[in-house]
Amino acid sequence: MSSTVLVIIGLVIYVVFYKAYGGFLKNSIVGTSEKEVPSKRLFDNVDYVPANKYVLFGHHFASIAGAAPIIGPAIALAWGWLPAILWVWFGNVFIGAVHDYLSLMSSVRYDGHSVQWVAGKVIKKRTSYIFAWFILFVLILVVAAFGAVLGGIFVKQPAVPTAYFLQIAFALILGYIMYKMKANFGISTIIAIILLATSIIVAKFYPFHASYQTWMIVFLAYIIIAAAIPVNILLQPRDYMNAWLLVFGLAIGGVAVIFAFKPMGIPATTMFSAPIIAGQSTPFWPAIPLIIACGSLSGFHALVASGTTSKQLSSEVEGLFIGYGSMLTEGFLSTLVILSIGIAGMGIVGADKAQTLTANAAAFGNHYIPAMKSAGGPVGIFAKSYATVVNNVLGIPKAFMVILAAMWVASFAMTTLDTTNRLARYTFAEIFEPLKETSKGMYDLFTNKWVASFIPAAIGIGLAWTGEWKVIWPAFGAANQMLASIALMTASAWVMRVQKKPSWPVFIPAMFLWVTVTVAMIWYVIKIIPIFMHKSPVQAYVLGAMMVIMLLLNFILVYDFAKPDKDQSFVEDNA
Amino acid sequence: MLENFLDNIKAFVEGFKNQSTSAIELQLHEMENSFALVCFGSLMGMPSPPNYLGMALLPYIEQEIKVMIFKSERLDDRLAEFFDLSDI
Amino acid sequence: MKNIIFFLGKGGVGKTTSSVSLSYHLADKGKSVYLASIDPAHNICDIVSEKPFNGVKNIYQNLFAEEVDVEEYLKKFVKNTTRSMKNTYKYLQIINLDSMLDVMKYSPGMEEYAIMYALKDKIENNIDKDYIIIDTPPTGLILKIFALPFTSRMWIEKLILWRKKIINARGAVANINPDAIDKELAIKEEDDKVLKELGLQSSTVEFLVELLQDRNKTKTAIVMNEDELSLNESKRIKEGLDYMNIPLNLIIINKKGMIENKVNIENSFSGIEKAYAPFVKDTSSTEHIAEICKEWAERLIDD
Repeated sequence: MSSTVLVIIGLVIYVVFYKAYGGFLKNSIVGTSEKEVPSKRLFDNVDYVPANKYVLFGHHFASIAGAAPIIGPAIALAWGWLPAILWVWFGNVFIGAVHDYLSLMSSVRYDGHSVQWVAGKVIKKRTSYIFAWFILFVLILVVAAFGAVLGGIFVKQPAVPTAYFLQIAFALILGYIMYKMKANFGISTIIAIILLATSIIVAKFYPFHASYQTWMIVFLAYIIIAAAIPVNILLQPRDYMNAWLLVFGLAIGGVAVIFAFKPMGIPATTMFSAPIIAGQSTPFWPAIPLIIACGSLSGFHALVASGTTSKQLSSEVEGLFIGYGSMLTEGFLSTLVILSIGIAGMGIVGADKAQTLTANAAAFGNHYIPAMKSAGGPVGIFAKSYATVVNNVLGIPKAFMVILAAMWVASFAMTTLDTTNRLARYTFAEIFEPLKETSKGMYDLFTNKWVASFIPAAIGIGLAWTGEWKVIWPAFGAANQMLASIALMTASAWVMRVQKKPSWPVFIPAMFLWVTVTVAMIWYVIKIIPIFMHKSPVQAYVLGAMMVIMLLLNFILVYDFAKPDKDQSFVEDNA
Repeated sequence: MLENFLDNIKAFVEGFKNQSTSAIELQLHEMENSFALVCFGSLMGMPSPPNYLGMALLPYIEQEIKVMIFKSERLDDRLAEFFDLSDI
Repeated sequence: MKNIIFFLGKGGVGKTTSSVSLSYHLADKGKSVYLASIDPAHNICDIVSEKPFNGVKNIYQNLFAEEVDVEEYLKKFVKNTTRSMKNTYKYLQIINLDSMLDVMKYSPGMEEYAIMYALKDKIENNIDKDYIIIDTPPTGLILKIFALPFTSRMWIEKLILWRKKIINARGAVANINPDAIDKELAIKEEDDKVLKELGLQSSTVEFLVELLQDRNKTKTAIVMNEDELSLNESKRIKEGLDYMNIPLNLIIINKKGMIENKVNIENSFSGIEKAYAPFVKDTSSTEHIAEICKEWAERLIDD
């Protein structure tokens, strides 16, 4: 099937569901409130500020879009492009976008309180605490997963580290120009784009070779240092550059894929259990949400939606566009990833490999992951396919586009490494709160800034040290989906107990997700951890322990959901 | 139609402006918050500068006190606000 | 101004007498002298046999004396603050609660601050005199007052740095996104009232810190008697001065031979000059008073 047709089908599905299903959610589940939105009612010009719909959309989208919606689908193609794309589309419209939209709206109704806080209100007090644990696991595992994937691409594409570290240096300069010299915004923007282009061009000629383990050490040092630098020095200017990378990447890629008119070069379906995770046959159900997390649904979005977006929403009607709409846009990004690898992936793995892969559907399923690994992992195969498609359609030199695409992912992933470390530091303090009374010494130790920075970073990089992204990526997916599941349960508890509206559109996805992820995690602990144990026992124990703790918390969670506190008042907060 | 299009372009640019200041704004508000906390920390038993310094500054730091009060209302629910910073 | 001379010591050891004595002595030599007591319990007037007076009074030749009204400084400062507070909380007048704000003057540390402020003010106003002589309040209070500029200096420095960061961040945001910053808020360092106020505070404390540590200008003398209590307190003063790096020039042992169970002070205060002052019973005439400092006056002043 032609990629162009698929893009159109995807867009049609998105538009139809946005209008029909989104509209249904808006009218029948969320309804309207007599209260004004928090941004107006609680206006303080600090946190609560009504924002223009498109501005807020852009901000929200930029906050939720990162490297994960690109990496996941690239791996999932081992099942064939059809299951992957269907999971993205239907996961999007029925689960992911619902999750984002309702998290946003429940937060709006609770004065802009976060979903973590709302969970403590509508389910049980301790749910909020369990939430913090899931958050910490996601924050650790995202470092592991991104670290492993990034290490792979840094080794295979030595121009990428040059480009990224140049970008850091340039970000420092840009930060100085923008925020210290206070240059005109237009001029700063032009400088930012020139610097970005320069870093890509220079990187092509000055690749930086280092071993995987070296990169892991560099990452660890980078995380701890970058997380300790004030945000105006590095984080903010880099964010601004990243926003342009995202826009360029999406716009160029979108145009190229739409006008490619190329048939999909890989099988639509391969087998139900393709060898993906740790080379073991991995059943599509329940494992798919562990592989494609962010492109389809992601628990992280609930936090972003209820953290700042809900405080800036200028009218309830716009919630659908921002919550539901930006998730669909992210799904569209994943669709582009699937399609570009679909049409160009076979051209870049080498003739002999391509021959083996395309022999038949089963062969593709069996050999896709090793082939991808030699192409530089998920980022490598995406970057090269993307470059090929863009080169074919728009004629931009392939070598630069490979670096652009890889850097797009790398830059977002590297940003995630240090920003999540900042969050992990704080989450540490929240989680160890109970220790404050019983063991003051331990509490002080764990909440020490450097200790709290080092532990999550070291665990994350320690897991990544094995280079086994095929094992670690799904673990990150699992933690993220657990977060999504708890957010969905919070949303359905809100719909049932506070809204008193039909809750099936949230409840069914919540339960489906809970069951799927729980089964997947049990499967993972039984099947994958022992295999991982042979290779890297320490990492396997750590990963296994995290998985088991998450499973336990998961059961407590569903128990609490079914039996909330009797005296819990579900009344909307009017503070 | 054209006007509408231009409006969208404008909003797009505004969105970019937002991308280049949101973290600094977050940082700014926290700095204002802690400035007020430092000046009036003695109110809640924190070590603070000599009282008269706080009193001398009092008339000019309405904004900081305002921010301090807003922020302190949400002390039990601050984590999610910072998820904006991370791109996942 | 050639010198500023501080007389420190336990209450009742003869600080005021010593300072008045030195003042007469210098006036006799034709110098212009400003003598101030910053002790809330003043007694210059008793010694110079004057009626209590307000403000500066020319009591002898070129000698100007003043019993500084600390309360007035306290009021002035509180008034400035309460005025702006009351402006914000004008409505309190409706129910006559505005005087509630006056309670601010009882805030701890306010008295020290008022005296510090007064000290700076008086020194600045009399900088044209040849000598400034200060009779200080009892040990506990004066050490706090001396320490105040040093401790405040650190806070002020940090606050200024912090403030500049805030203003800078505001400027950076306003440069790109003007609507995000309230129009009334300063986005440039020179427009910020907080920085301006901090600058004023800073100049006060810097002035005092510099002056107090200037060995060519500032002279200090501890006045003591030969008893245990007085000795211990004098040691405390010395420790305090050392800590703040303020020079100690002289120990004046007053009322020599008048004390029973006298302690030996020869072994204390090594490296610091000591001087004995005779006990003068009759303080009714200027000559008698000037007599007291004859032995040590020259050690405390630079000509």
